Amino acid sequence: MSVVTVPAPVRGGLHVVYVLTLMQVAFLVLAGLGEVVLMGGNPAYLLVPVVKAVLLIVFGTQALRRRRWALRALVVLAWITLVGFALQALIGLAPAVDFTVNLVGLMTNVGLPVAVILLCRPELRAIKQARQAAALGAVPR
Amino acid sequence: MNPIETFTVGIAPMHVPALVAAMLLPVVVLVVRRLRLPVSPDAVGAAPTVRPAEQSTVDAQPDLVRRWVAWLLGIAAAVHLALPLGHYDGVLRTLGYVGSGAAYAWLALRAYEGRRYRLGASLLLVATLIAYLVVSGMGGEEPDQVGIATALVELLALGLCLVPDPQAPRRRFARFAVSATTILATFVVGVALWAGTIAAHAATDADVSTDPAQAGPALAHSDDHEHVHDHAARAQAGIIMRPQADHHATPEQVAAARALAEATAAAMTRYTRLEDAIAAGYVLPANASGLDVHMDNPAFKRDGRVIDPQRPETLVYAIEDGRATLLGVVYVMEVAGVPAPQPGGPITRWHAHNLCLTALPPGFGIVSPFGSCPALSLNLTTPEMMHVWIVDNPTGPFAEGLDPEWVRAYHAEHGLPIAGRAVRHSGRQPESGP
Repeated sequence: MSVVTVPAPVRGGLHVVYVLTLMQVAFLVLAGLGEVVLMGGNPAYLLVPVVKAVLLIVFGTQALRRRRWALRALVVLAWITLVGFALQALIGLAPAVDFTVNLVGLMTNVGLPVAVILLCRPELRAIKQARQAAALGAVPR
Repeated sequence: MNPIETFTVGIAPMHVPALVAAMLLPVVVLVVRRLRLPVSPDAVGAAPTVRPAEQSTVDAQPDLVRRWVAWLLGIAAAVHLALPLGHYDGVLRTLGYVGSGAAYAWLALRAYEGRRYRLGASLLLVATLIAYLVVSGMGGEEPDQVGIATALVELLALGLCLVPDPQAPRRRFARFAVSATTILATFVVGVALWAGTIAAHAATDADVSTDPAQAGPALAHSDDHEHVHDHAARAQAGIIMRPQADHHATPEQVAAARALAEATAAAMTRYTRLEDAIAAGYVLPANASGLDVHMDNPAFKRDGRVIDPQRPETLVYAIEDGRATLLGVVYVMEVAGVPAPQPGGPITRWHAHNLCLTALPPGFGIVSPFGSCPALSLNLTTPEMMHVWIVDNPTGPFAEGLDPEWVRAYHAEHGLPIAGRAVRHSGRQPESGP
């Protein structure tokens, strides 16, 4: 019987992803609050930020337990943030509007999602390889 | 401003050495590791071995967490140690910068070497964050991109220090508590930075008065101009501004600013009644009630004219209790990113807004100090704009905003009844009319 070795990712990566997710939750609620204040205190503007914040907490918590779907969801959200950043930069080329790029914006809208993607990738790969190994082991000989 | 100019405006000149120090950190770490460790394939990328005497005090944190904390504390150390190079704030604060920087460096080394660091780092991080918020809240330092980025680095390090090891058993409540604390700490720091930025922006109103009796040091030539006038909304959290080459208006600039304010006030007598403004093409917004209702004129917004007192792009009314009071105008540039002329020098100061436009539900907010917007929104920046108030505003015609209580009292005295015909023409109804 052949032995399939699965390389384990560096320990603690999901821990970092979890804390990055918590920070994203705070960013979202803060931005939602800014909109509520500007829109005359209408709490309806908190709905979407709170829904996304709850989803992030669920994904982050489940990612800690190495759930593949949660890790994939976090990666998808990170990619959406990156694509959104690029899209906004494109829209900012129009004469009527501009797009402000600053150090903090780059950290939170580019650095943070890239870090999440890079930290989730080895975990997803390890889970995939573990499943393949399990499937190989289950094949009757 | 083009994107590169906007990016650099966000960084206070006195914080450039700190930013450079943080960017040079990887080089310094590489050199130190080369000097400390034997160069061998095994040594590259591996943490140094813990000395036997300290084996009992090794933190049970995962490897990557320790590495992240070490780097984050290292960045905080580099920034704090380099801060005195950019500005001198007295012996006490300089000692504080150097002391906290040295402590961060020591804790970063401990984290890197796998020794205990969490308690000490958590206490230092909380103390540093509170100190930063107190200093910026008291007007000692305007929050800028380097300051906020450092606060972000410290918040992330704090989160990593607080959140317990997921592998540890029976820590579910502890994890919940510290997770909530991490979110709350980030939120509170963000709110405090936002409040400090908005307060600093409002405080510049004294500097834009054309009345020498009311004028701030921009006209009175204060010796304390370094701390009073370097406001450039460097947090870029809802407000984008250009820094001023000179904070002291010349007599010609004061005269030009006065002339603009007087020309605007004279031209706007035709719009004291709301219905006349609507007839001229100004559009009531969906929420046509409040103490600062902005009415845009789409035709004037694309007529190619800049600062034309006869054709201001936006009018600002107070509309309450079936009455309207014209408070002033907003001159708006046609193209975003193009710097507007400043006939009155630092008195006629323009600003832009970076906004979050949301679709669900339709609306807009301002970008947070962390550069974030709500979900499903676009982060966009408006063209430059400048208020000119035509009322006898205590802070002058070029103030950024008006005191709501003052506006309410003024409106109660000067508000004109809204004619039903004009409001019907706009498709809106006053909340309660005569």
